[in-house]
Amino acid sequence: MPRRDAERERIELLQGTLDMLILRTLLWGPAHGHGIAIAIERTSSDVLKVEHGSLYPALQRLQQEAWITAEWKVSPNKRRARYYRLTAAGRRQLMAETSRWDRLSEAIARILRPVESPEES
Amino acid sequence: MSWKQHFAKLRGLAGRRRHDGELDEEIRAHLEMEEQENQAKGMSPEEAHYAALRKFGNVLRTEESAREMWRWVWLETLAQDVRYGLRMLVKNRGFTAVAVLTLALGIGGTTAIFSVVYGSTLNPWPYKDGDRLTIVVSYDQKQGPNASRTGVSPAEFLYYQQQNHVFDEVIGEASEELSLSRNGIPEWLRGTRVTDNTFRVLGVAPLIGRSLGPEDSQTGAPPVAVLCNKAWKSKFGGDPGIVGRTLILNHEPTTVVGVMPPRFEWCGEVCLPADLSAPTVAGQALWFYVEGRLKPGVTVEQANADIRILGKQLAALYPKDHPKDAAFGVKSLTDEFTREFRKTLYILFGAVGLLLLIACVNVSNLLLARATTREREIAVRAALGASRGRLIRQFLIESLILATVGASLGCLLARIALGPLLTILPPWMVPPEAEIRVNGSVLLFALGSSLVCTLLFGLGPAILAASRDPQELLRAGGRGVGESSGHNRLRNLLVVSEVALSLILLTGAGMLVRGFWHLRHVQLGYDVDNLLCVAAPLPDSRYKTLEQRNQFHAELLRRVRTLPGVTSAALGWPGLIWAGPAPIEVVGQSSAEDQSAWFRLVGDGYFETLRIPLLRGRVISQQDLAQARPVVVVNRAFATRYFTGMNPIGQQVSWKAQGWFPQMKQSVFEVIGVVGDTAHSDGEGPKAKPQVFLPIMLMGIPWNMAFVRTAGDPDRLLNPIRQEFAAIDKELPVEGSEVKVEQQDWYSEPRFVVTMLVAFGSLGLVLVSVGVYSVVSYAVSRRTQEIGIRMALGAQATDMRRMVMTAGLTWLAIGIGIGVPASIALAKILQNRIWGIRSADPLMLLAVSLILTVVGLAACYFPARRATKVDPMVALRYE
Repeated sequence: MPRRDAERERIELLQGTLDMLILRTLLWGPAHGHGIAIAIERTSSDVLKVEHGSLYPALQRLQQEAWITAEWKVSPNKRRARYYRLTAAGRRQLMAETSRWDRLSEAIARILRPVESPEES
Repeated sequence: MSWKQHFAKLRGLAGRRRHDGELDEEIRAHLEMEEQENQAKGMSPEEAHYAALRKFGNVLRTEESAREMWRWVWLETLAQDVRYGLRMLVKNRGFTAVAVLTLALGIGGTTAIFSVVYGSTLNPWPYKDGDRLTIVVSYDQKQGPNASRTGVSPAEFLYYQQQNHVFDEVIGEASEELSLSRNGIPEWLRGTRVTDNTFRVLGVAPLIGRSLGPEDSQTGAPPVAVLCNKAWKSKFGGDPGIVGRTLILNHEPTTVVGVMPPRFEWCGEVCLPADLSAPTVAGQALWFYVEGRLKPGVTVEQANADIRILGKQLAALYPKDHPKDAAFGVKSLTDEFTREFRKTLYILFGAVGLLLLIACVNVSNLLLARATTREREIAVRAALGASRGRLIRQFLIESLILATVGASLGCLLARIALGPLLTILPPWMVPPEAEIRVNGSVLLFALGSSLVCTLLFGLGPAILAASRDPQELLRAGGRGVGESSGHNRLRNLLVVSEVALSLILLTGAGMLVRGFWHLRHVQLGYDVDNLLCVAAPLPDSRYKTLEQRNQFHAELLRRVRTLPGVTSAALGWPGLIWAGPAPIEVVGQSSAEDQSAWFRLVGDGYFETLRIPLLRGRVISQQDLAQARPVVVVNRAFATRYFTGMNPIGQQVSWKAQGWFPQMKQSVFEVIGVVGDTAHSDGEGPKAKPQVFLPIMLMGIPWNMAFVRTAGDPDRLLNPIRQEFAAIDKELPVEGSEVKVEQQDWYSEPRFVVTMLVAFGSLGLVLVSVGVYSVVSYAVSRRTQEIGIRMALGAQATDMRRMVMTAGLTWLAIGIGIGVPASIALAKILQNRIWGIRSADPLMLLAVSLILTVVGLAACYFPARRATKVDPMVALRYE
């Protein structure tokens, strides 16, 4: 029987990161799903490869948390697309997440390079 | 999950189709955009399409997990599981039918008994806050706390009402024998005078007219009465026009103002108002029984403590009205009226619980067998990603469906069974107000028991089935893996427990049947055929002295004895059913322990009329009575107990309860004869105890009771005898009945228990045989291939039969081995708690074990025979 616990933990970690990346992308203005995917890839210089499919469950979740809203609009190339927009709550959430992320990456950096950091400072 | 999310999901549930469409469109748009971009990069349209799909990942999976965000997925999958479960159950009709029927029997039986428990002991009263009603008791401490309650005077009643700290209401009622005159023929009505707050406190609305209020109890108020339902129906033909009419009750015109509904039994046949300021009614003092409604939150124990103090104060205030060793207390009304029957019901409840357990074990077995045939399905589902929890849930849901369908059918069965069950319910054991039916609480109980059953029979098979390795199962292609050892072990355990449980049930039923048989065959010591008992009260107003009463007795006997059809007649008191002990002392045998004997007051011809044999000496004669000789006849048990090794004739017995018969002049009696033992009941079935027979003419009881032996049908003489009573005194209400008919009540409770237990026992036996049969025949079908190989290799049919039967019988034997000591232990626990159960005797255990073995043998034999009929070629190709 497949053990689900380990799998779930992995997904949750990914989801959390993805949520933050989506919110961050929407900070520049409303975008549709495809646009968000492209933007994440471009801005991370293609380091982060997002499986486009995983975007949509995340978008649903963010909508439910009321961090983003969505509406149907016509895209510049005359296609009907669903545009997502950051809400005030989403903005606050992004701030909190960002500072949390900063602290986390700082801590991890300190653990991974414990000797180098004092020398540099 | 936040409420916002719940709300979003709720919305999602409503607009689910729209939502699905939107997601679809969004994903399609995404893929097209990606394709366009890829083409712009120079890919061919086809290449661009596949690249976009690759980049997107699994579309279906994305849609699913996105959907999970806005729906209660578990709810949907639950509905899915239920649908699937229903489909599986419909597909396997045979299995479903057997399982549902088995559960319906188990749950139905339990529910039926529960509705009796609920209606008769948990919630028997129609009265407001009936569970808080208590009775105030005062009794003679010498006779113990189960002695009959004594009444209190109006003054004492008021004292209780005003001085207690534990009741919010105190009510009182005093019974009064009424004679109702209609067309000059007197009839007897059991009346009750109630205090003015009674109807308000009890809170039962009248069926017609009004009930009694405070204004009716005022001095000088016009005399009114409220009829109880039974009397209204039997004496007045249920005529609604009775309200407003005037009846002559005890010579006083009384207006009927109302009729009570059927579930109101507080007052006997007619309720009258009690005027507490009037010292007497028709020259007789009223003695009240007191009931109190506990204040909310007050326990019976607290009330008991308070009333004990009040009682002591009352005993000091009115020393004349209380015995020297008066004791006081409070008992719960429910407890007082249901204590005895509750014991019986709990035993039945235990028995039906065993039946339910057996049913659960059976269904568990069936599920196990089915799970092994579903191995392939389970393996496929697991391989496709069903988690273990999901599989267990699936199985449990199927079990739950079985249990709920079984429970619904069971409730229906319980409803049907209650009809005949209520007709054999012992009449004295259940409060007459009790209403026994399948109501909301009973249905709730059935629902609860179906949930418990689901876990009992479904969990084990579900866990076992879900924990098998799907790879192994798939590799084997769903056959020939053989049983897992877990399956085997559980199945065998189930058979063993089933056999043991039913053995206990059957032994219990057997013991009770035997007990009942003994009860029915107790030598009564007298002949009940063609025996009539007639009685009339001799009111103090006209029969004050001993002489007046004796004159009436003599005149009545003279007249009745000359009636055609009467073989003999004699005075006797009390009736033949009940008996209670009286304190006596054998002169010259002072002993530390209290001596007592059941007593009867008899006239001349008593022993001849009842056909009680005289063993020594002589019986009480007309001369003894005429000359008021202080003589006594004792029975054999008395002689054995008190006169061992000496001649009882001429010994003297002293009567120690002078207060019981104030007109009695002598208290020391000379033994003149010894008669055979007669069996009477002190509430627990007929038996013989030491007994004394005293001359009725010496005691001056305010009653006339006579036994009449007739040549033909006793009922036909009832009216002529009534006329003889009327010829002497046409005001006397006479009651008469056949002794034999009255005695049926003795057996009503044992008969009830025995009938129920025998029913449960037989059902259990059927279930066990079905269980053993299904297990063995399942095992045979699993081993068809093996049997085919063995037979192809030259094994004989008898060997095969033996092989199959040995396996079945081994577990049967182990089950019996466990059941026998368990039954013995259970019998020890129940011993003397319920009549009839003494101890589990070896013969009974042997018989029950034998029955089970025979049933088990039969259940094993048929599958075993089928095994030997297997054609080796077919068997090898099997499956």
